[in-house]
Amino acid sequence: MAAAQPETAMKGLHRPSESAMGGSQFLTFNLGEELYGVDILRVQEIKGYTAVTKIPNTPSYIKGVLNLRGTIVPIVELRTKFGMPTIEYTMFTVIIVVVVKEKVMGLVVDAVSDVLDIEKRDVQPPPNFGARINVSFINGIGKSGDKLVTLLDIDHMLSGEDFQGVAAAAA
Amino acid sequence: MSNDFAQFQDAFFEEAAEHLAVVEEGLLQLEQHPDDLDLLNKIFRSAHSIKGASGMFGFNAVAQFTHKMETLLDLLRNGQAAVTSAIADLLLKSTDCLKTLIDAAKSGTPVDNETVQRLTLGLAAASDMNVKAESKVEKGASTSLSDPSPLTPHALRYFHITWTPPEWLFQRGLDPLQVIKELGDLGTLSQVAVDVSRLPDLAEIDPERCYLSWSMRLKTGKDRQVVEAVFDFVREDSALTIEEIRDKESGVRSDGAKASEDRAVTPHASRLTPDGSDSEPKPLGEILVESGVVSRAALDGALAQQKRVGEILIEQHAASPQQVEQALQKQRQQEAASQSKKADTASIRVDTAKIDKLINLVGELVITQSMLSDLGTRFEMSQIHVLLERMAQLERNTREIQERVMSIRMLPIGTAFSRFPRLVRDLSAKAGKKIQLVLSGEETELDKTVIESIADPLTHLVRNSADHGLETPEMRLDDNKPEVGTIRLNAFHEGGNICITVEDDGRGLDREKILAKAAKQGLIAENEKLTDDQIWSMIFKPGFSTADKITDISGRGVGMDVVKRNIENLGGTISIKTEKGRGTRFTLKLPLTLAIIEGMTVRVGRETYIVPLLSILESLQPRSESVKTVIGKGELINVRDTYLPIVRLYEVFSLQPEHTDPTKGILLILETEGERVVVMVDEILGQQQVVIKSMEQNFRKVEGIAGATILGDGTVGFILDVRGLLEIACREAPLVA
Repeated sequence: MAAAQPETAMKGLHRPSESAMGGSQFLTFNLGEELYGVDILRVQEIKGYTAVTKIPNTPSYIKGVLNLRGTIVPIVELRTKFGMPTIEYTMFTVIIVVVVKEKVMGLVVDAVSDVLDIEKRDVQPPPNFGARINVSFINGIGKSGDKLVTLLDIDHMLSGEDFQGVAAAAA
Repeated sequence: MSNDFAQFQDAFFEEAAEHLAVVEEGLLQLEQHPDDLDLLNKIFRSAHSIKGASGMFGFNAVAQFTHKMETLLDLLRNGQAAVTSAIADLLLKSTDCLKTLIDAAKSGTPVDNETVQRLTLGLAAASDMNVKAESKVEKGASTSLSDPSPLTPHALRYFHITWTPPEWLFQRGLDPLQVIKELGDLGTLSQVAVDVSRLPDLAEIDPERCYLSWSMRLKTGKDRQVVEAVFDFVREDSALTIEEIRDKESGVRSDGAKASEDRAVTPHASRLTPDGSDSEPKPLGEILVESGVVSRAALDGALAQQKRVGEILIEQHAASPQQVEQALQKQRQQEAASQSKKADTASIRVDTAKIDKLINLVGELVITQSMLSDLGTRFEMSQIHVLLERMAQLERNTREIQERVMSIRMLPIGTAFSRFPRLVRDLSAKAGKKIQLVLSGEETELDKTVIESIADPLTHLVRNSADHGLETPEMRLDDNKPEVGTIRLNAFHEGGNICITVEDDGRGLDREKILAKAAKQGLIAENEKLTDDQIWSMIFKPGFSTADKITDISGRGVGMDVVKRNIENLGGTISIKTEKGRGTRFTLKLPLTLAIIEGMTVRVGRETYIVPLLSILESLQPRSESVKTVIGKGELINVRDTYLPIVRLYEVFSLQPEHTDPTKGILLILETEGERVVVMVDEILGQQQVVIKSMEQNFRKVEGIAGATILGDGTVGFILDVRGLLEIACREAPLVA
């Protein structure tokens, strides 16, 4: 995460001058009112939502699989994974295709938001909610202006036994 | 240069394997027809090719050994010696030895020198016995083998080299100056003189011909093989002498053999792998010395004290020296095996006709495509029939191309059969039985990977037939059977499958013996009622053997279960037909290819699944009176007086079905590993070929699903794994997500 990213074109809010200081670029997206971010280097592509094929006997947050130009890609619905209520898909609903340990996966999110530079000093460790909320797949909380971005550790989140081991019980 | 060379080496190994196969096959036939000169010539040619090529690539041991074989073959060819079974045997053993030598050259591992020596002597003796004149050649060859240069490698030597390049040198784009420069790189060149005596008048000069020759003196630290290697690419038709000048005064040592026959080669030329030593991590000791923690002397002292694990074990009497030696041997074999596995680059030889056909088809495809796009630019509804026609043409093109591309991976099964004549010959000698092997259907083609994976199971079946199936000649005569037993191997297409049968006319499986053994091992209950098929399938259980005594050929009860597993891994089945006293036949049924399967698409609710067509026996819609329940729950259906359990796919996969009543849906009767199960679905959609896509690549194995595929509308469909379905269904509570 610490590697300085080359300065790429960005939208107005934050100037590139901040980016070279040990920060990273994050693709941010919305789930309801909340803003989440994933390391942009892990994102392969963003595509509109298309119907998936449900995989039998898998946890409910695994939405199914998709044909992505000939390869079979599993799709995870983040709302279900986080225990949030499901909503109707809209024209903004997208699949963010990410690469996790050489495996390609898709994440269904409400909408993509922005690409943000977040410096290291603007990232604070995951808060402790006790047993109420599992924060093991949160890398930290990033601040960007007045926005709060939950930075996800997708390696941790998407490589558990549901993805590699034998059939596991629902999350 | 070494990288290019390594590339050629791969080609050499491939070719050598082919030549070896020719030699072996030829020798086996020669035993039957000792007077067949054509056959001898064929063997000789192949052996000669191996010798020539191995010499060129610097596999000295291989070249030397082949030379010995060739000498003997030459005698046979000239009629100076007769083909006796002893000689044939010797030559066959030599072929084996040659095979190990070549494998060793490939993996860069040492060889069992004792065998090589013994066979070399045997070959020499066989040749010597017949003709004295040949012994001269023999000696010439053997001196260079056993004569590692008397000089130390680093001492400076002087060579006098004269070289008359072939006239075609320029035509092939070779430059004599390059060769001389390369020589210069080895040491110091002096007294370089060019001989222009052959140069014709200017008017007669053909600029593409080389009329020149050179003489020079080379001072170098390298030995003569290195010097000779420089000429490797121009050696053909060259007149080349390389004379070593021992002492400037004492004159010339005349080991300047003509550069045609015994091409001696540098030992390090055989290891022309890219140099990776720089990137290798340094040993701990080196690092310690470098960082000044310990001195070099201290390190050397410590290293001298270090012992091998084996030595320590022997000292502590934990293992005997023999045991350690055996273990070491095994380790070496494993290393060699793993290396050769790594070195194996998969390649395939394709008939040019197949490729030509493919190119034609691609041409057609391009035409169809341009016609379609032409139509697309100015399309009117009135032309819809033209569009449909072109689409049909496109479909035909695509299908044909698909078939042709698949056929590139297809090889005739004869390549897998070819090892059996030798195997049977050895087995019959070992078991003291007379066995005749009949092969048919060798031209039947199937996928390369399938061929590779069935070779071992087939070998096992043939061994079994030879050892257990066939009786001894005396027993056969007592039973009024011909003295010579027959093993038949046959391959043929049947439907979308390939069938391979291994058949013997031996004693057949013994029903009583199998039952008794199975009961003894607790595989079945005493007096259990079993069908014939069920009894025969006992022999596929791990650890099951009815052999009275264990021979080194077979009988340990390991193997048949492996055979069955291997075949099933390929998506195939194995079945047995046997009759007591008449023989046994094993039939292997295999899919033509592993990448595409024929499937039946079925629907459950809104999901589409694909059932491998191979596992479907029949489909039916039952009448309500034929569905019965057991203990109120377990459903059975009566199919021609056999009750089979019903598995509802929607229950197993937790889906929303359209029908929950078996009489409204469709029942598929599936078979897996001899077990039958009835699976209920909503509807059968049709039959189609599907390309298997891996689920594990991006996800993981899902129980009950063998793989995924992409359906006509671009969505993903799952291919059912019948075995897995059965396992889920057999669990007490269905798995609910």
